Amino acid sequence: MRRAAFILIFAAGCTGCDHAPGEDAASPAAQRSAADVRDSSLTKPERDAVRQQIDRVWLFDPGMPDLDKMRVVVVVDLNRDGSVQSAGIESPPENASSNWKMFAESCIRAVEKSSPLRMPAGKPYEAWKRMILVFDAKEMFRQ
Amino acid sequence: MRAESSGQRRVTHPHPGPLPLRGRGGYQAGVGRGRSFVLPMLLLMISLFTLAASPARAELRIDITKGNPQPLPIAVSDFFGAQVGADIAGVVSNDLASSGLFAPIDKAAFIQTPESLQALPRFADWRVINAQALVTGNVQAQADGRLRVEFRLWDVLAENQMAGLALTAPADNWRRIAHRIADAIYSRLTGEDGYFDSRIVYVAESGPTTNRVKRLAIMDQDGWNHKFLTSGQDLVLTPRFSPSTQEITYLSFTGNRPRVHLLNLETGQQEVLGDFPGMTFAPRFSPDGNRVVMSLAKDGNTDIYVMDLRTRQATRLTNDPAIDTSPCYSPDASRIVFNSDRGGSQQIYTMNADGGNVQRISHGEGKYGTPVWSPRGDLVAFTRIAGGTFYIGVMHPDGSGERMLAQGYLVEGPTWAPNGRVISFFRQDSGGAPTRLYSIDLTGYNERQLQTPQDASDPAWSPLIP
Repeated sequence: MRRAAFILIFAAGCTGCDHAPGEDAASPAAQRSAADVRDSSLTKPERDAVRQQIDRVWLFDPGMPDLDKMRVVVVVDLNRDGSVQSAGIESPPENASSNWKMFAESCIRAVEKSSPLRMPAGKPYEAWKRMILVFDAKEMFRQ
Repeated sequence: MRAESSGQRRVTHPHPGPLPLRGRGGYQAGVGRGRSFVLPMLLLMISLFTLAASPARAELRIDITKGNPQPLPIAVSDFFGAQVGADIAGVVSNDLASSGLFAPIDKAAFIQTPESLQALPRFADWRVINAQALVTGNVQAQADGRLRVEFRLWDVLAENQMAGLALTAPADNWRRIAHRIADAIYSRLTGEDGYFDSRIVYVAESGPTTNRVKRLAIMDQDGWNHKFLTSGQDLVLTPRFSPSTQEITYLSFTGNRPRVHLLNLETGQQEVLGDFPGMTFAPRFSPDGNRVVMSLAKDGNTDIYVMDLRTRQATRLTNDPAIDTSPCYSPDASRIVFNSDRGGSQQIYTMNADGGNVQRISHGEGKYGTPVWSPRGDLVAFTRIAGGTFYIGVMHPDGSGERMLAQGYLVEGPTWAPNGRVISFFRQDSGGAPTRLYSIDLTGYNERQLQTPQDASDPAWSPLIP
């Protein structure tokens, strides 16, 4: 429902879009820009290197009830030196359990603890200034 | 003991001067570094919208799937103001460490002093020693002889206060104050109730095997404040706490005659619940404390009965030629778990509280016994004997998810901590080794011995002390 509301706002005004007024998002200029970013995006080894820095400091409670169902998405904005400018939970459930909240806090702590992150030197700041981190505990039970 | 806390939920900046004590529930949807770290969710969502609306900006998405099931590094500073402040901090630290979820940092590494912490923590000083949470406090001796103890729990990385509490109690109750503080910290950082302000009653054993003296004893969950409740003249067995009151039932043999006793720990009042013909086993309270369920041997057959403590009227719940024993209510009192050999070997069954709808829930090799329903209702703990080895295990009430937590030559008698995260049991190694009490958490990794002055068996964990 919340996402739908934002989509509605986008359709009405598109405030904050990068492309110029009147320029369609699917225009050739916009498509070229997207292709440029794809070229500069992080490779798998580069993403793995970032992942390891956060994996290493993420401490969680292994006895937490329903741990195998826990999944939290954290949106992280980074400064140019790799330090964390801000971190927040994306779309927390309206009736989140106390266990989910504690799990989410452990994810935020991991992000804070990992700061400053060592980001790939050869990649432009625009390619990694915002990260979407998906903390998924159920994957641990599959390994 | 009196407690004060406020329910304020979110603070973005620690403010100078006297700080309000804040209660639990400091969950934050967003935290950032740069002194204005907490992002309102609305702003976050708007920024996400902006991101989604821009085709020219890449989204770096990374899955984090390999965390560390390691304890959280926590610094517990001595409480400022009186000598007992250091003692309180020590008990809090030991409680948290015993849970296996926290790793208290050695005080020798602390940079900031308890006195200077009365203003505000210098968070950089705590980050440098790898603390992620910090506990501070102060103690004031009041004119009436009581202690007023304040504590605060800080998030070192986000630089804000997560919880706070003020407790006032008689000075000789300082250990209970410390346990209450540890419970508040545990609750804030795990999202579950604590269990440190609780006690364990058990059977203390001494003397040769042929003339064993078995006395009822009680202690705090950390082994302190130990005392014997019976003289040892009569043999005692199977003490069980009421889930709702500070009362226990136990079985006492006077001249080989079993009697079910009720003992109120607050008043010391003791009464005989019943003088039943035949043999009586394993009396246990209902969740509301108004009934006791037990097994009785009558005419060569052992079945399960429930007794109303007000009317003293007993009702038969099972009627099977097999041996039915060890009944235990579910926390909502709708079901009872028990063990029976009605299927050929001793296994665990559940039934409705009126005795109907009997279902077998254990199906593994060997024998199962002493089932105990978790206070959370999600698990049943049990003893299993298979291949000559004893196990302490848990399974869901429908029999699924069975797993073993501890094993040994003899491990038996599980009892749940009031929050359903930890189990106590007794263990004896081969060769006539001493019998000792242990605790283990649900991960099976954090097993610890509980200190008792003598051999110990058959523990029963109390609810949280009111």
